[in-house]
Amino acid sequence: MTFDWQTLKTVGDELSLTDDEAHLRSAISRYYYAPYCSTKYYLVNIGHQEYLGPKGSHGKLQKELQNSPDYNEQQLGDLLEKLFKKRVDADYLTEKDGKTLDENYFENEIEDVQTKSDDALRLVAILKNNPPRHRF
Amino acid sequence: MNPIVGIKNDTHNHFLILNIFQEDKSMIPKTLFDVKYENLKDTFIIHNENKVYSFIKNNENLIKVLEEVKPCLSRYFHDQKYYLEVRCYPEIFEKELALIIMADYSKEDIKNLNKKLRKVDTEIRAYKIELGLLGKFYIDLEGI
Repeated sequence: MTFDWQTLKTVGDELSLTDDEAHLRSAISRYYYAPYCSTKYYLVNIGHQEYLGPKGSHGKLQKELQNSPDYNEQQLGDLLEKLFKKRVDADYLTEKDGKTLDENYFENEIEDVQTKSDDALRLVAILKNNPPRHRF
Repeated sequence: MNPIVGIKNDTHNHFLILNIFQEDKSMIPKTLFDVKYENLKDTFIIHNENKVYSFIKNNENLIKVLEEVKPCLSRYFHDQKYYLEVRCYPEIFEKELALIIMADYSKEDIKNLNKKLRKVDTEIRAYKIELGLLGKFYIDLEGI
């Protein structure tokens, strides 16, 4: 049985219940990786093994989906792009353009990231059930 | 005495005289790009202006997409303020222009704000692709 990447979202939900900076930063990271890995394996499972390699790297995956003729894939690409940036803020930065990225900042951001992650996972589920024709 | 710059145009046998006063930059003729760039300031707050100016100057199609996005923003986010900033993300290492919509999450439902953001993204997507701006420009929300 293969790992269900969507469960990373549940881990994110658990982490987000603890209101300290480390937990919030970690939750945001999980909220990104849940849809990112689910998307990669959605593509791999319909025969696109190339997405396991560098083609599946963050920026390339986002651009390919945004360029897709399928509307759901386009939207998924947009969401992954935004979530990726929120994840990078959470994983690397303490300051951004004069603004301190602290507990308050991430507390304010968490619901937005959660919403985007939910929306992205919903789109992956739709695509898994009904992959667009151009993928075959 | 203020210097006078004369450019002789032999073909048409006339002089174009530009009085450029070193102390007064407003006398230097502005390019169309500069005029359009200045107009952006009516709609957007610009963070770290030097970076934003040179990034847009090097990717002039950004002006077109920003002009296109203005009516979408006033349609869906008319109560919000927006800012422009150049960001460079680890793991991608490419500079991007971020258009950030400043939203008050205590006043409006985040799901609804994201729904509106998707509409804006959808409306400008074809334009963004046509102008080769994927990976160079994105729009997102940020809480205030």
